[in-house]
Amino acid sequence: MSLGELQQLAMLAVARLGPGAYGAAIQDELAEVAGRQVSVPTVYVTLIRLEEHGLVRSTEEPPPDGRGGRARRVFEVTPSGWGALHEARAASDRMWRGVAQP
Amino acid sequence: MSTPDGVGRLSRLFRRLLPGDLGAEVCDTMDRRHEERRARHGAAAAWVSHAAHLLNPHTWFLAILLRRRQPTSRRSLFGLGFSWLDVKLGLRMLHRSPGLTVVAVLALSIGIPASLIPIHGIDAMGAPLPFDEADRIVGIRNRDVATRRPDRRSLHDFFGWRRELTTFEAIGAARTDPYNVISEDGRAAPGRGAEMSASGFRILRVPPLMGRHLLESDEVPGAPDVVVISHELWQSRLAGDSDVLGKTVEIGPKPHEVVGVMPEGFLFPWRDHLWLPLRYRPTDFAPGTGPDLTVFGRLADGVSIDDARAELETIGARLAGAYPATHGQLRPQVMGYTEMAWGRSDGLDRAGMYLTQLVALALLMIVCGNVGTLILARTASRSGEIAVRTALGASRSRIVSQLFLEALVLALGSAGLGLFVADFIAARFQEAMPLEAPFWLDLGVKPRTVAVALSVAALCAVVAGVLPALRATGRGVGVSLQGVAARSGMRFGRASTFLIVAEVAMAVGFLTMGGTLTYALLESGPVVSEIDPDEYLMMELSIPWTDHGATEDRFESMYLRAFGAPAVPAFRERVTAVVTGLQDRLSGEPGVRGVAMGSRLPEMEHRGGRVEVDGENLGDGFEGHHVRLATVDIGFFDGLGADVLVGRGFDTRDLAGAPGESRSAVVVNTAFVEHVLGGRNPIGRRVRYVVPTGRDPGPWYEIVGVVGHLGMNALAPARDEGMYHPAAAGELYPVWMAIRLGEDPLAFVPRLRRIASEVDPEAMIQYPQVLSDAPNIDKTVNLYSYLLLLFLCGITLLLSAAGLYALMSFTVSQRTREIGIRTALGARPERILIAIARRAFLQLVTGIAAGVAVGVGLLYSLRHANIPGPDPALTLAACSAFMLLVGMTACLEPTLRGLRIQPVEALREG
Repeated sequence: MSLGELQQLAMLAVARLGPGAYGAAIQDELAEVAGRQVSVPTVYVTLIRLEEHGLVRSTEEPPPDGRGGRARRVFEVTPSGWGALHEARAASDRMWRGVAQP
Repeated sequence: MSTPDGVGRLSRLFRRLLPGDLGAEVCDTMDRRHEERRARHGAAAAWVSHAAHLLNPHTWFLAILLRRRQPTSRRSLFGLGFSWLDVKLGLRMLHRSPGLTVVAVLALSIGIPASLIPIHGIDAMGAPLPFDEADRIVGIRNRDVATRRPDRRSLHDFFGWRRELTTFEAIGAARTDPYNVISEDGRAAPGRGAEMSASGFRILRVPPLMGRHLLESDEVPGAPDVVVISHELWQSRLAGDSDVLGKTVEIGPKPHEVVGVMPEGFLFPWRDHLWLPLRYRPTDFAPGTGPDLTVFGRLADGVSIDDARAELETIGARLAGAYPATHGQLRPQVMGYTEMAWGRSDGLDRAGMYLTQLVALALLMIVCGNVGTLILARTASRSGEIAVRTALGASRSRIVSQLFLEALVLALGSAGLGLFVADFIAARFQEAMPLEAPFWLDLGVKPRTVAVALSVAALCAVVAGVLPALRATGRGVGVSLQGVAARSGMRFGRASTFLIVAEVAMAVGFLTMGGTLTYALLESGPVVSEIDPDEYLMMELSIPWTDHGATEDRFESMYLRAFGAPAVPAFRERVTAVVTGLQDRLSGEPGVRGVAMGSRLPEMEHRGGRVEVDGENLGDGFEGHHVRLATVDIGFFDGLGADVLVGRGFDTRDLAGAPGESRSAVVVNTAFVEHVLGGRNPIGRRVRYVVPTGRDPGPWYEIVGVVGHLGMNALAPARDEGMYHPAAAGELYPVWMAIRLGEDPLAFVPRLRRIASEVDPEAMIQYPQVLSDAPNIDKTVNLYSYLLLLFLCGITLLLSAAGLYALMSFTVSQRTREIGIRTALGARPERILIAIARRAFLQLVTGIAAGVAVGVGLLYSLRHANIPGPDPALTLAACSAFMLLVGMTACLEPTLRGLRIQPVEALREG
């Protein structure tokens, strides 16, 4: 499937965050690095849709301090997700090639 | 996480919206973001930003995605926040409390369908005709504002309306009558038919199965006599002959050529099986006279019924101005055809029926409230479970939803069962209705009734499920956790108290009424009518109206108004000829032991009136004695073989003078002597009808004889105080005849039909049956009403007993510790008993007191309707005592349980 811009950014955020890629962190990463302010529901809708397409997968991680709090879902990019990312980047590069700003 | 109140509510809303663990994680994240924003930008800005999530489509999309991820068993039902698991749990809870389930199912499965009878009746009676665009078919008629009755002698108006009204596509008219259809073998059988204008068929848009409709050319005087017949008549009388078109059928004395057969089920205008051309011309009648017509029309395209009404009112006002003598009091009306066909002055009384519906629903809500009380009591026993679930994170709404769903499962199941039974009963009731119902009437359960019943069931579930659940989860749930099942902090509140009191009161009321009616029935059991109704063949003798003017009698005297008589001399002569001819023939017939004729026969429901006795002064409020009335031929008692016990029967001298005032002789029955005259000598005593104040009192009638019970009151044969007036042959119409034959009276029917058609080819023998099967709609309605009343009586008794039981069980479970301590401190059992049972007893006694007040009113109305009963004080005392006994019995088991509580056990629980 071809990735939308937000999907691409969200997958890159997941990839950048590694084992700490849970919802709130991804939202922060998108805001800080990509400058995209997106709402919490938007982040999760994007992640769930990506997971449904097999581009990311999630596991439940126990609460960080071991007591209290709630388990949270941590995301990672799947091999086919990586493939989609590379393909998106290559398509973008191909499109940029030969483009000169007037 | 602590949040300000408004945000707390928002957060709870989001948590309900976004299910599952992932949903909770999303909500946590949103809450955290909110806290950050509040710290940075202030509470108001943070709240606005938080609330804006509600407008974010992604929030709702996420809700859908998360719901899709839920395991099947946890998935929401219809988005209501329930899962199949909840349904299963609900069913399991019902299974675990069989007593409650049985009581509640019984109450709701009777209560829900019974409460919908009014709306179902409105739907069934006012249902549109089963024709194309039937909502465009309307009835038109004049209403006499002075008499408040419809005036159907509208021949002149029909032609005028047809000429002038532009808001109608077409206007038609029909006049129905019974006709004798004589087949080729000479057999005569009556069939209801209609003279109908050719336009009528165009309005109804039902093509014939064979042949053609009636045409305008058939209506021309002198045109060949033709008939269109129904599918049913074609099958039953003409053996479904495929070459029927062009054949002749004798209708009365005249042969008619069959020109068409209508499809099955077409029986317009009421339940008619043949259609003849309508050949009346206005020139033959003065305005305001002529045959009774049913006028109907189809609204033109794009015209509303209000447009038609406005146009008709304009024409009506013009006619009223131009012809004050005939039209001054007439107001034309337009209404749905089926509404008009029921013949009420204003169509169906929808307002009254909707009011009855509201009352029925209010009663149902009391029943639901009571079921709710039972559920509340059971919920009390589950307070531990509720506390645990709350501690594990279940929200209050979640628990309330679960309890609501349990009640919903109960209510829907009961409604389904109730509707199934109601459909069965409706079918039996329709079969048992002795009078011919209109062809479109179908009392069976319809989709709309099902939809309303399901909505009502949902309402019941709210009353019976949500209110107790809110109470059960409101306070003290945390306390429950300390001693899991010991206490819940729940209370039976004012609502429950009111419901128990109301239920007990209703139970006493119904008991009083049911008891009195049962007494009336039982008392009537041994009363043997003077005659054996199995020996008699009964039937109605009628003759079609043929050019004799209006059949509707318009006599002012009570005597004739009560019984009717052919008002037109020519028609009266014809009836006289047929009746005397038939009497003569029958008297020479072997096997016939007697013939009696009257406006009513024994075993039929008789009309009632109020009379006073000469010399009796019972005060201003006295409305007269309610008695049953009949007008009979002078050989009536002889014909029936009923002895005149005192005085004499009627003879020819009683017929001197015109019917009405100048005939003073009446015969009364033994019940009249006993209940109206108080056992005094009746002969020579005078009675007259009680008329409203200000009107001339009617004439006095003199009692000349007394007969025994002759079945004048179907419901309570023992209380059939009644009075007979004499009439000559020809003065009674229609005539009911009873022929005394002995064994197997029905075998005589073919012979009787032949004799009748020989006397007059148009004379019809209708509804022939054994006298014991007399058509009696009141009897049928009474029987079903009685059964319903007995059911209601049983249900209210059961519910009030169950309510008291629940209250007592609840009290004992709530006060276990207190009782234990009291016992430990040496309290005597009777003091503990008072402590436990005081409240239930108070409610029981209050309910009984209220019920006695209701019972007094009911007894008064029964007495007013002349239904006999035992001594009122005795009835009320017996019903109250019975209710007290039932109530005490219901309290017994929980009370004993309370008395058995051991201090150690109670303290351990505390």
